Amino acid sequence: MNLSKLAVASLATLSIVSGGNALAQQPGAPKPAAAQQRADPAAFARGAKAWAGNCAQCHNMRDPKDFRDDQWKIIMSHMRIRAGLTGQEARDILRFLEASN
Amino acid sequence: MKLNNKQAAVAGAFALLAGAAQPAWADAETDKLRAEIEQLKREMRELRSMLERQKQDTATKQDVQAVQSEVAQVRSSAQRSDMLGANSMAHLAGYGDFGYARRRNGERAFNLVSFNPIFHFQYKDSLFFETELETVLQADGATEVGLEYANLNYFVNDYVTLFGGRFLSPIGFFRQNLHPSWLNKFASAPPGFGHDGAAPTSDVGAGARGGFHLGSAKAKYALYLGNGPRLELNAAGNEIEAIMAEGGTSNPAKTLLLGGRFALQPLPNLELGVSAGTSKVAVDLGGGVIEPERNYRVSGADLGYRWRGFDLRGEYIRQRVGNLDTSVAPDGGAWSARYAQAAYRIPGSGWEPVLRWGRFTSPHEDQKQKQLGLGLNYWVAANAVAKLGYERNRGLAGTANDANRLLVQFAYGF
Repeated sequence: MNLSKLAVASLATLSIVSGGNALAQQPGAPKPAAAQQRADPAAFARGAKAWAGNCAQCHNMRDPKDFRDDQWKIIMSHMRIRAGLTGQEARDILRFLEASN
Repeated sequence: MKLNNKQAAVAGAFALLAGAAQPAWADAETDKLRAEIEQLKREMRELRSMLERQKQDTATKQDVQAVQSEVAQVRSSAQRSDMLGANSMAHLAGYGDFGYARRRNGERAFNLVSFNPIFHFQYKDSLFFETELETVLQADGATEVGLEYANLNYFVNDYVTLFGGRFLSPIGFFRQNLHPSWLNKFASAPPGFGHDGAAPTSDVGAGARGGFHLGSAKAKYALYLGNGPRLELNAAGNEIEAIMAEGGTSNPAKTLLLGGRFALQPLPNLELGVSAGTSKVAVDLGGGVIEPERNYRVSGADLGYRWRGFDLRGEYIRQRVGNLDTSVAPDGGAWSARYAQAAYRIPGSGWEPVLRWGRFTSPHEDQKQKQLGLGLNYWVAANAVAKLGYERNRGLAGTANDANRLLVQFAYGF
């Protein structure tokens, strides 16, 4: 087995092992993460901290008022990929931005 | 009854007395009534005043109709533009720039005009597609449009995102995260970190990426399989001129590149990363003739540190192609580049001086370059910057790599 095949097998295994959460989020199903996020009073503070610690690694800090909630939502998906954020960090930062704009 | 004169006179006198002299209790009653009337008048004035204020604060029927009409127009407009459906979102981002360059004994021109729109599409919380078009004006006035990247991402869970398509190379940091002009703090890319330098720019393939916590530290990773680079021969066809590490849809060696990056953030303001990749490459002679494969390796390390207004960066990257005696270009070689950069944002102002040192080494003398750059930026806004830079370049005498250069650039990210 060469390295490429090993990598394919690793990625497939990783996807299967970690895919439980994704399968639980079928289209149309309730979003437990989003509901939990709204009820989590510490999300704002965590988001502010993650926002300050991650965003300035590549660019100047943007004013939360620069974008609307719906715009921040999709921007955070882009930044989650580019900055290697965990899903929780991305949701926390989004919560902070939505409460600050 | 009839009154005689005497009786009539007496009655008249009583009547006059009754009308001329009121008793004391009558005066008090009158004063009380007057006070009540004054009180009522005051209350009436206050009521009128309140009514006037209420009229001013209350929307009229016409006002309500105007608002309803406006809402209907907005709703209609939104419904017309929302072609993506209720579960999808779209967002336009990107950046644009223009610049002027003055090279000693060389070019003196506005040498940069580019527009890079970025499109984001998202389906619910699970699928995300992003693409950037690189639109650059050429020296002859023609416009070159390139697909910088176009990839689909699936958020498996909080720690794993699967991706596929064309993506900025996860190997190294500058090309993936800092090369856009509104993010790059100098008016040019460090030597070897541009196109066809030492740092891979993009690839076509698929992989997984994400982040997770390691105790108090944060870790980031990206692992992927891609078509890998292609080899470019010189004009004579007997040397490898450059490694074209820009993702294409061909893979002459038929071996996928396995590569990735792992980074650790022991502190929120410090990131240390290492990158590596391995594959096989082969010279494509055209006409379906492809040479046997040879080894390809890429490795790198990067550092980023921020403290107050300071921003410190450093990166090293190296690509190596093995030898192949039977090839038309038997000699392989190594292309490497490194840079260190310090920037300081002066508190309370938009001014930011920058100092950068860089070096690019190659098997070919005319490609080698050492550079010391000094720059001064002015941030008009968080996403708009005017840059002034001066490059002190050292390379093969007589080549552009040996000529110092003055740069002016304006970049705007949106």
